[in-house]
Amino acid sequence: MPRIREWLSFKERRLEKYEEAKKEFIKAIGRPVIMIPLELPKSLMFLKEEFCALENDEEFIRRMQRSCVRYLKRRFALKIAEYEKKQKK
Amino acid sequence: MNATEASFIMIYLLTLLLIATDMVPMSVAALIGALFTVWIGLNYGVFTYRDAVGFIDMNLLGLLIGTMIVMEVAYRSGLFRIIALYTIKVAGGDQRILFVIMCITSAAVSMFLSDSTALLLIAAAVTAISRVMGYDPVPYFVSASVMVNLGGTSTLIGSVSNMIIGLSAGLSFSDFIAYLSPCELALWILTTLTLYIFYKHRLKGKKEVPKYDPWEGIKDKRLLIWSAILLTVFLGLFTVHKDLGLPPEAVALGCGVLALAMGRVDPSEVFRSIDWETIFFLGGFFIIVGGLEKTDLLNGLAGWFMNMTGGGTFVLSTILLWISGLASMIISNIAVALTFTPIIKGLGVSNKIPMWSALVFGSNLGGAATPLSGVVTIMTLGALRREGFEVSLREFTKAGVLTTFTQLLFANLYILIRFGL
Repeated sequence: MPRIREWLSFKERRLEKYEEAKKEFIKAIGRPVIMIPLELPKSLMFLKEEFCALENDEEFIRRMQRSCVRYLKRRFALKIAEYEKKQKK
Repeated sequence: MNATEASFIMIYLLTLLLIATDMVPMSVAALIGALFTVWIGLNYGVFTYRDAVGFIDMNLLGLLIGTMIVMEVAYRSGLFRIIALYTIKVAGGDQRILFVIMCITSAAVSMFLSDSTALLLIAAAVTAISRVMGYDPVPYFVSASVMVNLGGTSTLIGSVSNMIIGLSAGLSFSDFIAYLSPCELALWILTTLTLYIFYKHRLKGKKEVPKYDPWEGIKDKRLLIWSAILLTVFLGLFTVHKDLGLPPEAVALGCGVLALAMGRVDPSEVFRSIDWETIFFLGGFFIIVGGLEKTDLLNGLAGWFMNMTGGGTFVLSTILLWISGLASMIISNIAVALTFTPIIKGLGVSNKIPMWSALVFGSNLGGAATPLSGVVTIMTLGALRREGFEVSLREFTKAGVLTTFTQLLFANLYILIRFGL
């Protein structure tokens, strides 16, 4: 069975196009997801492993999400106000 | 049988073995086989170098490349994405309705797009909607792979094996529709029903679909409208190409050039998206089968078929349907179509349409029976795994074999009735 799985994964090369298409659909129907390159600061190079583990750190993702909300609210305050006005009408 | 004939058979069988086991990519397997065929053929004077080059059907490659260019430009314009988004909107949040509509859309989209591209599009749409609604995507994915495989059977440009059969048999786009579409439509309904019954217990629940605009995210509306017009012209020309005296490859290549010229897309990106693996596979396999043809082996096989069946059209069609159907469950349906085409040509029967139809059904329908039957099924499992869902090979095979055998049985019955055998 593991050999079959290995063989199947070899055949999955065409899935990059799937990821692209998925992103477009999710953007249209659901909540879009963005991937941003985040670089480890030079001064913390000794924390390489800890930095890489952040990718799966739920607490970190939650904080990033909160900071994203704050940033969007500050940056697009006018647009948000306009939207809320429209919703009230 | 002399040593040369035996060598050609060995090369053919070894190539099939390499393809079936996937020890090397299928295009490389076919090219290795072609290399040995040419080497033996030239050394033993079976054919000349010019003959070997002539084995490759350039008309077919033209048809294939032209169609791929047109469909790639249409795909890039977002035309098929809009169709999928509207489909979800129309279906609403009822799982059962959504399932049936997605099945039909998968087959319909696959009539034009290559099977793998159609599957990617549908899989992406299913992933998005099932994430938002919290639905189980497995029934949709498995059914999409079966329906995409079925949809490709319907038209001359629906699958590569159809192009091979169509050009060899001299069947036009409208001939395909006239001979096969009644059965195709019935198969769409029958297969959707079979899959629905199979997955009924997993399709419970109804939720409100979030509001969205299918046109949102379309960067170039002009390109989309242009693609829709081009696609209409493309299909229109295919319908009347015989009356206009135009070969199908001329229509495909002509529209391909128009798509590149007017489509405002980067041609290098479109060329990169062409399925070169299939094209090189075809080139190699044409030479292998050409070598076999030169030795009259395939004619001998045709004679053997005639003797065995007594020349009865129904028996011949039935045998062809089932052998090609079962063979495509294991090896590429392109290899199956290329092998059986010269055999059908060699049959001493006046009306070969039932046999050609049997080969179209057989070579196409076997492609979604098991997870190992073709690229589409393998990609389905891969995409599901990416989404964190594991489908056992057993579950997939159960759904695939059930639908494939139902389809083959129905196609057999259709051939009997349609051609009055």
